[in-house]
Amino acid sequence: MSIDTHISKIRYLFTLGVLLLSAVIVSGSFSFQGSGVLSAENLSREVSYYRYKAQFAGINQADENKDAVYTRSQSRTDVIPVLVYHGIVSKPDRFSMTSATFAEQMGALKKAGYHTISMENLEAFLSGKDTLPEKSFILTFDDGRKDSFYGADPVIHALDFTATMFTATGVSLPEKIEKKSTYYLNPQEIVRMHKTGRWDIESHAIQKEGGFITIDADGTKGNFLSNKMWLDDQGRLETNTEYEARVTKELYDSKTAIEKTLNKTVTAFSYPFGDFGQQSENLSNEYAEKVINKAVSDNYKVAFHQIWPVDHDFSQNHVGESPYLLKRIEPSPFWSGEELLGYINSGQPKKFPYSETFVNDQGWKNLWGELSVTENRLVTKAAPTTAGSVTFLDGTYNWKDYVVTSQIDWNSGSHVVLVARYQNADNYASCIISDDNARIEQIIDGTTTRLAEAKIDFVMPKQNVPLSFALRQNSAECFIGNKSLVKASGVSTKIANGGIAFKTWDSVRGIASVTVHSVSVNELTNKNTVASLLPQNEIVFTPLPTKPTKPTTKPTPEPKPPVIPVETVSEIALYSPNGAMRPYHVLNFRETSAWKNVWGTYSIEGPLLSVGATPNTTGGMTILKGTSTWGNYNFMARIESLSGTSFSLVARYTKNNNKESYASCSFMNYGNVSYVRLDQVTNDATMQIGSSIKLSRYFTSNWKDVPFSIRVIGNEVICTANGTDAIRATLSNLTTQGGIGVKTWSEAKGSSNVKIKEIEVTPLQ
Amino acid sequence: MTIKSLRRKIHTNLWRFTTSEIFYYTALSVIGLLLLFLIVLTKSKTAASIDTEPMLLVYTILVTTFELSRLIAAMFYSNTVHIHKMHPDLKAQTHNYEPLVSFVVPCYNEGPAIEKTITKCFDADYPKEKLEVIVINDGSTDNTREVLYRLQKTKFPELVIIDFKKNQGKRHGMAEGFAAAKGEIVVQLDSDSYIVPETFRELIEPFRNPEIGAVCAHADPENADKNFLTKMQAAYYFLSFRVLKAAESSFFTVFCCSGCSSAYRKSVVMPIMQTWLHEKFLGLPVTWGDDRALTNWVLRRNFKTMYTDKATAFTICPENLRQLMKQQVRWKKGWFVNSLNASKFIYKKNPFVAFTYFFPLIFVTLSTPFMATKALIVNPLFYGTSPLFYVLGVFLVSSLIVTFYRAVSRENKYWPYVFAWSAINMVLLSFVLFYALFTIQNRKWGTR
Repeated sequence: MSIDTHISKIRYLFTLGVLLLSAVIVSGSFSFQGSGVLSAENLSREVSYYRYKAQFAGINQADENKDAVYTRSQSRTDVIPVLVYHGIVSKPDRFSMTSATFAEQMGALKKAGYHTISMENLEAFLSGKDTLPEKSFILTFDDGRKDSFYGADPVIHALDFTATMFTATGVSLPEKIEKKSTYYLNPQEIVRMHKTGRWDIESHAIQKEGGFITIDADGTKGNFLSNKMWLDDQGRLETNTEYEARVTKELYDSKTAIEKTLNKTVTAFSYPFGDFGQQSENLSNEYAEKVINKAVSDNYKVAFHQIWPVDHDFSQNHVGESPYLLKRIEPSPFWSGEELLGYINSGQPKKFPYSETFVNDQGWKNLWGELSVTENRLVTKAAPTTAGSVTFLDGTYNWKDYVVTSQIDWNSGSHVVLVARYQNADNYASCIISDDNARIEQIIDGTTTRLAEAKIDFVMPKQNVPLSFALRQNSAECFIGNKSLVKASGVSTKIANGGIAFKTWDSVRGIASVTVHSVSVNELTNKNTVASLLPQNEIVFTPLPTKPTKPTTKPTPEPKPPVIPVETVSEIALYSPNGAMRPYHVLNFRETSAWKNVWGTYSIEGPLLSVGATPNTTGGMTILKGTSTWGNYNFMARIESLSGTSFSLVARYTKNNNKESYASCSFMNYGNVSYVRLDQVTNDATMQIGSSIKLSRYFTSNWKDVPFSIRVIGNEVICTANGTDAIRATLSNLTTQGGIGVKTWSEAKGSSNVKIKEIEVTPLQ
Repeated sequence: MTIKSLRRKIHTNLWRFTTSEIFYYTALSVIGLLLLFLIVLTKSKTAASIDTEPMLLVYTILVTTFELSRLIAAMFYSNTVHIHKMHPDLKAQTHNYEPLVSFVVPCYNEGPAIEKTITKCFDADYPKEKLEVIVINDGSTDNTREVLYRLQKTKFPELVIIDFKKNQGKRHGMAEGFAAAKGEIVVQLDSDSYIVPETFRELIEPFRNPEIGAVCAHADPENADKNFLTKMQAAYYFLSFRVLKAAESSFFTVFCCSGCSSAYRKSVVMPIMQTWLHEKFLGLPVTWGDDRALTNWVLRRNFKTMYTDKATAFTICPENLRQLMKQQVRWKKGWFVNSLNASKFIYKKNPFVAFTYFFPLIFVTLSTPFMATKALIVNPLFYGTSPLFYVLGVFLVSSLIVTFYRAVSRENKYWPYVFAWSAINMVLLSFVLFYALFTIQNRKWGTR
């Protein structure tokens, strides 16, 4: 018998062993993933917990000591910040951050003494039944993503925090599981989360079909809560009753699904897409808001929306505000722990006496125009497209009777406005100063009332002007130095409290500008007077030149906005003179001169518009002439072919001082993966706003004839691929008007080219 | 075999173990299973992304299965020892098998080490009249020549010295030595290596079986305790001999009977000596991987090769990183060129080994540097993906190998260094292959 004969048995055994081994590896690797207790995710969650426990050992130690002091002092808070996260991933994007970043952000809060509170605490606080200790906050997650749980749980466990998961019950607690999701939490995981005691499962509606419904006969998709559904079989929209019933059922069923599974009371709701009715497309916002509010308040005690960017309102929630429109801060995936802490601290109540010289950002938020807080000064000024600017200070909502004094340089613009009792953009009191006039106005629910007015009989100083605005109960008075300019009474009780703001204005756009060097705020009490709080140094005023006859005081010619030589192209109108919509539609491109090259090259080839790179550029861009005054519109394009990585649809294209600004939706095609990216270009500076999730693979290969579009409404930009919204965002400093363009790009020079066969621009109201 | 006799066998076998041994091996088995479980868990992490990276899953499962299949193969190694004795022709042979054996020791500038090597050859536990020691001085420029003649004069008059005036390279030295050897078996020894005299017979024993063409002894570094690097290499030597070569030996297809201590049947290698001597690659003579090339020829001539852990040799391993890298580069070049050569015949001569081991090995070795680059550099840098799971996977597989290591030798103390070696291998050595391929036209001997 030879060796070969002998080892043949070993060959069989070996082959058997290897096959067995690979069977174990393959079957094991598939059966351990997902939801089992012994899944890789779960084990690594446990391991990570100990890792973070060790990492946070120092913080937790310090925290224990802090607790002792804190219970003795019993200081309470009157605001509550709420954070919202979406996901914890290994590759950060607009919605999600890495667990390391999350841990850093949470660790910084813990270290600073912050602690989480429950929805029950919040509800009791908002309704005035209970108070909250200082440095309370609420941690929430939207959407019920798996990665949030597995990525965040070890961190909050290690820090002794609790969190709320807003779950779309249609995907996470479905009546029947059709296919195990690899993205959303499944019922087993929901139960497991609940049992940890760290996670509060609350409602994010049911959200069948991802929260979208058909809203018109064309099959347009819209948010499911704020729109009436198109009933295709009956060829009509829902009736009011049907719509109301559907919304109510959605909110009720979602709540009961969670309550039934977990045997708990659901108190909180998070508006999908942050849409509480204000984003309605086929209803009046008021009606949609009313219906949604009714359904939400019937079923829940608190409801959250989402504000991003967060700069339009006070960032934290106060007693007395609606519990159904609670604001949440969405920490950026690129914020360090210190940055998040700074942001939250700046929104915490500021105490009297308050003064600052703009060394650090204390929470000045830009509402309108442009703002910069650097080098010991605050500059608020009109953007090229706005008549003025507004900035307010976060954390001042609860201020009542006070004198605000600021040292300003009145750089330009016809009016400078000192605002007090600022509650939101629709409710505040203002002291408005122009060269010849000072007046006090109040804005209540958006309606302006003039309370008092006085002439100014001296030459208004422009440098280092000490302006003060005093409010005590219902009286208001405006000062320059210690000289009273105008005085009023009758300030509404509606604005009995509120913070401070600065505003500039001019009838010409892009002109107004004010520099603030310092601001100080002192409380008015029973023991002091306004006069004692004003700056005491005398200012010598120059009287106005005599002969105040009107025609002579023609001011120096107003600086005009810079005029850019524009080719004489008549504007393309999107509306006919009688106001009817007149969409701009091209199916057969013929006129080369209708387009203008900005980058790369373009040409008209037969019926197609070809935009592409030159040998020296990575891409090309062309814009349609005569579109610069277009405001709100939907720009749709179909392509014949694309070579290169991406093509983009550009909207709101403007060119000022030779600098471009626009928004663009880039449709990226990497062969096996495609997605949509939203960018904003402001004065030549490109900022990537975000990327969509991967587009369906069925439509990756061939984009021919597929409709792509960019939609701009007000500040909102929506990118749509094949009829589905891929990504949307609100861009704070997007110009209100601007034209369209087409762009293409590839990594390699000279290779990108897109051939457009059809474009259509539909105006939107 | 009846159940009863099986039970008796198990019973008697169990009694062979002490309590401590039973505990030890049980613990190792539990650890091994646990590690296997953890490995599967890390794979499940990859399986979760099957939608986006299906090829990665296939790859990682292939590689893991391949690596662990070596352990399975090594488990069958103990059978080798019995099988060669079972050749029918041997049944009647109960007499001592003591053929004439020739040592062939090529050396170049080995003044300090050569005396010990030669002494150990003559000390071998073997009839003196059946031993022959041939040393080839390959034009050394130091005192090697003097040392050799002094030894011949004072201690070992039987020592055969072949003295090249000019350096011609190791292959020439070996060829000359083989030609001069009178023995039926030729033991090829590196000049800084020696076989433990007491274990020498075990190297010769397998040649009883006429199918065996070459036998490789187990080698350990003599300077293992010198520093961290040598300890690491000690662990690596143990692994590559007692696990990897043993695994190859289970199928009597050891691809490299190491130059530091291997025996060849002269009648097998002589016919191909000249071909081997003049082998070329890309037009230039091959100056590394002589041992691998010679073993290739043995296999090509349909003879079996094996590894024996009963004969032990000691050699000197590089003591600093630069030397180690140089050695590694030579070995990788040798591996590459000879694997190319072997791939031309192995699938015909031994299809089983070719497809279960040889070709998968080439695939894994060539792809590892790419996957390591992707996981350790490209992904973290460009996608921010943590290399944690890759590192964890490597660590777990190393741990399982260490468990096996501990099971085959409870005494060998270098096992913790397997982790260090696999770490270095991950970040450095797998890339050395690229360097080796880039400089493949550099044919300097480049030893130490």
